[in-house]
Amino acid sequence: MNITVKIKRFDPEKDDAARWESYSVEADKMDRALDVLMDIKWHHDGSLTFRKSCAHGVCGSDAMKINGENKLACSVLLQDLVKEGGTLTFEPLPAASVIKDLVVDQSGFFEKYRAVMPWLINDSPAPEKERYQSAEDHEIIEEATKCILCGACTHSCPSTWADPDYLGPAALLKAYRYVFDTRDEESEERLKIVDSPNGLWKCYTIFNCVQACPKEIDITRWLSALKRKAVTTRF
Amino acid sequence: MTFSHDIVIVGAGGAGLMAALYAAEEGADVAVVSKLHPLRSHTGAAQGGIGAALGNEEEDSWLWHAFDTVKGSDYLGDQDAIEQMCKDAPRTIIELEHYGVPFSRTNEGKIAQRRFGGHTRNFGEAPVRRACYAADRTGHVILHTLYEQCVKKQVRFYDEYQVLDLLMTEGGTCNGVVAYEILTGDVHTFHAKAVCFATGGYGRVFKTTSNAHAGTGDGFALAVRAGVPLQDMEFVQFHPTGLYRLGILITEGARGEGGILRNSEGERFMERYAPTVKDLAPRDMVSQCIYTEIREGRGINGKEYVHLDMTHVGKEVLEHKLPEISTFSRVYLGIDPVEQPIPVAPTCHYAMGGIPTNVDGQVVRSGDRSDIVPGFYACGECACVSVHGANRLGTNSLLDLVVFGRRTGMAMAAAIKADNKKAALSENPEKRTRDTLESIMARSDGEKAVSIRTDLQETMMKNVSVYRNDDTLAESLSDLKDLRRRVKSVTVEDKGRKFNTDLMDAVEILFMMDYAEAIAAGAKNRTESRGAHSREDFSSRDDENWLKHTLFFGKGDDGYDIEYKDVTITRFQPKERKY
Amino acid sequence: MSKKYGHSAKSSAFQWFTHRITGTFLIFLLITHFWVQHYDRTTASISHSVITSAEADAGVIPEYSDAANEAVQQRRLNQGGIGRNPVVPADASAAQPTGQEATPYDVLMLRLGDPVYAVLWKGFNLLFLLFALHHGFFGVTNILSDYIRNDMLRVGAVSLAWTFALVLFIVGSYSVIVAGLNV
Repeated sequence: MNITVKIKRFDPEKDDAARWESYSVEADKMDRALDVLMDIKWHHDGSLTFRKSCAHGVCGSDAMKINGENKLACSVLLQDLVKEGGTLTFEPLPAASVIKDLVVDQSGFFEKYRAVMPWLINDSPAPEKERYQSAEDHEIIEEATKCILCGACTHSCPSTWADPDYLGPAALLKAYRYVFDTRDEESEERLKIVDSPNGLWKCYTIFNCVQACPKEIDITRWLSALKRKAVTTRF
Repeated sequence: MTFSHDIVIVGAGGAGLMAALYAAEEGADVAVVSKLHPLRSHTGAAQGGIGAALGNEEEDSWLWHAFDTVKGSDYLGDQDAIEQMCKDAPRTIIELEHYGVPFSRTNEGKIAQRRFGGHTRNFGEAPVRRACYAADRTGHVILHTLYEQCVKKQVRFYDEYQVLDLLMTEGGTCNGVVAYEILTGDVHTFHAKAVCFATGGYGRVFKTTSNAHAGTGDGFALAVRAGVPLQDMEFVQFHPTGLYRLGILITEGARGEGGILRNSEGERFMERYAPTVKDLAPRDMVSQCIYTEIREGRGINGKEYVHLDMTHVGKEVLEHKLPEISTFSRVYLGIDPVEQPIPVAPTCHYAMGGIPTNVDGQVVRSGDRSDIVPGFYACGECACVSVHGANRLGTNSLLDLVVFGRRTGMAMAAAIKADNKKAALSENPEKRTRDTLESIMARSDGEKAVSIRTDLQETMMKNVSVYRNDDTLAESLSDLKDLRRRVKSVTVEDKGRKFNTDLMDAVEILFMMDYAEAIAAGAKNRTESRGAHSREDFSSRDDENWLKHTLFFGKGDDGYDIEYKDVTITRFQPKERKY
Repeated sequence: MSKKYGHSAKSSAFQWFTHRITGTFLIFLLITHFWVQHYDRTTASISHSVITSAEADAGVIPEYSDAANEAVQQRRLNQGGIGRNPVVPADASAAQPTGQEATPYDVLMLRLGDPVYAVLWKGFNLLFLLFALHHGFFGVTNILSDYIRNDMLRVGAVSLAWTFALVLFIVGSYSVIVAGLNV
């Protein structure tokens, strides 16, 4: 099918502000949105810049705003985005500084991730065998471990748009994953970090993150559990 | 500018992070240089599991695991290394669990295990549950946990730095790398006491692959350019079940949980080829069987695919144990595996060969196993220890990464403790790199990387994939010669300095051309069929002449040399391979 | 670790939890308010009947329950006053159109001047006031602290908001407390 692709472009060495560029593209309805971008880069304009790697939704490189919603370009097909003759738009993730075209600076996003101490803390002597964890206890955190840290959620969150320093759903979900891991011994310290002015309480259960998540994680549900935990632990 | 660290690791997938973590645990100053953010590494795409004889679900022993691996390798694996890996496996998995990897659990709360192709009990009797898993995202949770631990240990990460050169002294000691900072377009030198390559595989030289776009085998090329040989490159694993046309991986765990392959007649054809283990035969066999079915006209609708039937497995298992592959089928093909079979075809998946190393990750530069390159280490898919021989068993790749990543990390830390000196850098270490980049950028007329790459992928897929013969291999070699000429005029449209991915595409195609020959040449010389290397003109295994490793020495435009190296055999004498 | 995030000694968990609690209470307070104010005037007073202004003009006196009668007597004794109608001031009718039902204001005043249950209704109104102000202004300050990125301005705006809330609370409390006292 023939579609018009509009891309919000920005070249830091030439442009003062972002500009829209349009391309007319021949594509198949079963193509991924990423295939369209690659086609443009390879056959129309080699300077078009975007991140990609696994191309099937597990590495999290290509989160961007497609037709106004944050998605992974490799995890959505054209047939679900655009009709014959229609227009498909690509923009970089909102609330992040743009490096070039669709590439955004994710250093702030990962700074938030590092802030919640995203690692297992257990200083008890390690047993010979694995630390046991019941299947039920594992299930509490299982969905949260699906997160690929693509940033679609955090950059879809109105609280993040307003306050760029808000920890955001991705980092808070990571905190949840460790606070609720029965093997972790340091949930109190982590709760003190998320229970801060830039933390958990800026989640107003807007559910944009849930809608944006390409791994279909019910983020708000787990953040609410984290809130209840913070309340019962801290006073 | 010049950065200085004890240890510089190139690549931040499972092997690189494991090496970084264990070296950092020993107190070394570790830097990890990667062309992607570490969490984008392709280890994250590993689905089904990681093999270790934990015996959590049923009786198991590391020796059975070693036997399966040797047999799976079609006896080309070095048995001392295989024994080392299978012995280290349970300990390493337990350590991963202690680091926080969220494995799926048994009812007792132990690490859950499932069946996988080629893994058997009591030396081939029946399938055994040996693959430790976290649903079908085992690689993903291992990658994330390792990165988290490295961040905790304050490993220094240089994200989105493309390594472009390996630095060696006159005397052949490795002392650093040169890397291009993608964000700024600056070239930097990394000066180190030890350099470790964990740069992953080369799936992207083939048209249909389960590998990431980043899987361009950069490390192989850098090693070849530095005069290091590549071992057993002709052994390329094609995973039997890639989504039709797309090549996206459908884990072998799907068959481990009961999935069945069927041809156009609805027949469970693997029963004919492997009566004992059926659909759980090793990947080389299953891929070859699928191609045979297709060639004999039993592909579905006359097309080049067969069906992976999961409909009898049940919604419960698909939703809980294989959620990702269900999503892939639904998203990319619009097929619900609960109700319809999944169209699958073999997809290029894994490089058995690579940079030859010993069990401590030290790179060996000739047929003599004690002839190591001081200061140069390799681990993961880019290395060839060799534990996979002619065909890797499922779950052994993640195991290879973590076992040898761990050993390499510890070995590097020990080495710099023993000898705490950095070999001095040469006068202008960045010159070669700058010259290459500038000449690409300055070229105004030439060919874009994409057209060269497409032709490379086409010829490799057509001539060097599952079935090969002398004619196809000769054709591929002549194509490669032609491509090698074309790549000299590779050009870029993006002339900017910042985040120039166009330039990176050009650099990658230059890399690919430097090792693609190793695959085709090794395959042409090896006049037998063994494991994943299947010659139509030499259809049987020939232990008398070919029970040996290939060593490829590239000489750029002057062609290449091929040497051979003996296989280490300890316990298991080569036998006919039947399943 | 970045300074921006580190752990904070001051927990905001209590405020968030209070917000939830006040929110929940507001639901019930609002239902009660709507019921007594706008739907069922007879519950406006528990201790006596409600009369319309026309009835008051005609000299009809509210009927007290036994307990209310006693309370009225007692208060009259305490105040030493005699013959004053405790519910509807004699001159109230002059200010109002005749022949109509009592206005919401009248009803409110009746309730807050109730000889027996005034304390309960005043308590209700004070609680309503407190919860509504806290809940509303907590939301407002959240918005202010989200959108004002300048530290000084943000602290200023938030303080100003809470000060305004306090003023509203004082004014509101005063009017609730004095209501019905002059009768």
